Amino acid sequence: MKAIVNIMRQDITTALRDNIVIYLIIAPLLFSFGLRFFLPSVEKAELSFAVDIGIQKEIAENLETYAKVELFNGEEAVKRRVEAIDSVPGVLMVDGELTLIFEGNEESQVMETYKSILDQVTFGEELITVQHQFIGTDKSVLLEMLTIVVIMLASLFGGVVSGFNIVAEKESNAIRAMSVSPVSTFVYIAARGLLALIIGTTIAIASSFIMAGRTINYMQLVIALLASFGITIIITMIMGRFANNQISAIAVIKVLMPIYLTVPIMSVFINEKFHYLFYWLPNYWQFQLLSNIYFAGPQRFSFALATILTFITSTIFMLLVSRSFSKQLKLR
Amino acid sequence: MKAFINLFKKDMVIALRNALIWVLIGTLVLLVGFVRFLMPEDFQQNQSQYIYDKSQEQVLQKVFTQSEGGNFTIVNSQKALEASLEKNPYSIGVVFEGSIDQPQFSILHQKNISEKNQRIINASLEKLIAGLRGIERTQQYQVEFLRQQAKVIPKNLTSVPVLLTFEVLIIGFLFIAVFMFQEKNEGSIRAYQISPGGVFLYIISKVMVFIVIGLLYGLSFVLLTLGTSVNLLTLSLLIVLGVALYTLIGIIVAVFFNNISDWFFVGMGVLTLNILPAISYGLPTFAPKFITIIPSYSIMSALREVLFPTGKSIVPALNMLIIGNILAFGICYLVVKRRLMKEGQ
Repeated sequence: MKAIVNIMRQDITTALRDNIVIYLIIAPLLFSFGLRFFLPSVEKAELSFAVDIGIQKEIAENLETYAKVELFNGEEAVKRRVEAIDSVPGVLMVDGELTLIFEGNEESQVMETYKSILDQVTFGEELITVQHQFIGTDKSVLLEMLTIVVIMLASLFGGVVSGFNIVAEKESNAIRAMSVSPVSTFVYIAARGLLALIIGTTIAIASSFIMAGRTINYMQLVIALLASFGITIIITMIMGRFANNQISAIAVIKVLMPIYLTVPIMSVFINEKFHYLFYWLPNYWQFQLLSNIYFAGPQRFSFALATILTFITSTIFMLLVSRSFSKQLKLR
Repeated sequence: MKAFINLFKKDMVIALRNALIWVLIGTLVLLVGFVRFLMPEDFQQNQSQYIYDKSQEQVLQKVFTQSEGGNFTIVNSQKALEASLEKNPYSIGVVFEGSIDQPQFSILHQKNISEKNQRIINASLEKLIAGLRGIERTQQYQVEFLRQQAKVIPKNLTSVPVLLTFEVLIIGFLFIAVFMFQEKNEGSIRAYQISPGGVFLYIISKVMVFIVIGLLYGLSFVLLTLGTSVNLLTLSLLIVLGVALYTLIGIIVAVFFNNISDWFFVGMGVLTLNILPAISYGLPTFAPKFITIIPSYSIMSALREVLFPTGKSIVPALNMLIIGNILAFGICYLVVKRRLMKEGQ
């Protein structure tokens, strides 16, 4: 235990000396703040029309009750606006007739929505009575998905911080001294892993507070992070195994990050019958585990099952990676 | 020319020394695997709807039962509707009452939406009811298209321009920093300062290295995902200009730092800002001004046009890239000359 504490103490000193570690801790927190400010504007996005000032004032005013109206002077100006990259159709008079102009690459659903608006504006008559009621909790799929991404990033960064410490030891040759000391592979990995877990958990909880506030069960989050302990250690060991300096460490992160983050996110879009293809991956189970915490509604797997499977799969991977790690670093 | 070739060879060796080639091959296999085998060709993006038809005639229920596709479920009681909404907090409920001649809708939102968006829902329902009542609403406007309507592209393939922009084109931005810090650490930048090579050759050689790597990486990715039906010449031009721009910006940023630790925060910040236009790519109706001025916004659109042609001109994007490259080269030349080449003197 004393050896573990000593290595951790030494790591904290190295970590604080090195800016990259501070940045890795601050980055997800800043990212969370940024998302919190930016996301509402994405979710409250309104449709827009590019309108020629020559059309009837009444039509332009009516359109404005449905969407944003951008006024342009003349057909060419409207068409130029329609040609822009976003999906904004034009409304203008062509040969005395009101005309809705699309670029041609808009999705059919988007075009139908614009047509419904213009239909309603030109007919005016209301055939139905509609009452809108707000009954929910204002849940946002986008916010919750991104919160999970930030929490997973926190676990990754926890592992990366410890990984950088191993890389620093490799660069300074301190690892050689370690290999002739009585420190065993287990103690070495445990010390690095514990530090990674503490850093990852701290970033994850802080990020979660920023993104989700008090809406989630933090005890479940702590359990999820503890069950994902193996994943954080795997990241540390892969960095330590393959990177010999900070530069190659960045290259390793570049490969690890998409594998770690993209695979589970992709699973959301993939038909459930193909999900068995992901069952061997600990990050898939970690994602299911975090889904239980952040996503409301029914889940594919229960919290308990996802916790157990995250723990089992990550432990298996951890044992496999630790063999190669210990061999390469020539630890006892 | 000989000086350039020698410098280019040296830079290429350094670039490939840090297992970069393995990193790229590994990432390429992953990307191709995702696009070709894992991402579905289509997936539902609409909000789930639960429809409860309380009317006597149950016309709406019959219509929705017969229609195919769409992300909706018919429920048979108020209780079932409430249970469904509670189970799926991201969905909306639609209750239909009265008759087809006097229709009344209640839309139950679980998320606040603006009044304008509420009116858009009303407009869609008006259209639906007019159709059911057989009311001849002769369209009082004509619809024109600036170009022929584009074919629907499978969702997995629409990710190719995004991945090209945020994985292939930025390669120079990320690795030029790594590359330059290595030169600084090894002291080779000092040696270069007293050599006759000059700033121009220094920049061009670095940019060329990443253009070659970017072209091989980008073209392999496109050929393995979309095949050979793509206009490879125009695609190559966009990749060359895009990689050059990001590499030049990468040099401009990296010049001000001495190691990856100091660079990391600013570098990652730039990359994060650069990725924001991906939101507008997925949601084309959301394109605030600050997003449209980020180069990746125009680049992604131009790449999409080259990979899935609709007849739209990519000249504005090419112009932006050419002007951007000229400007970036100018700034790059100045900062390399005034800062990098004077470091340690």
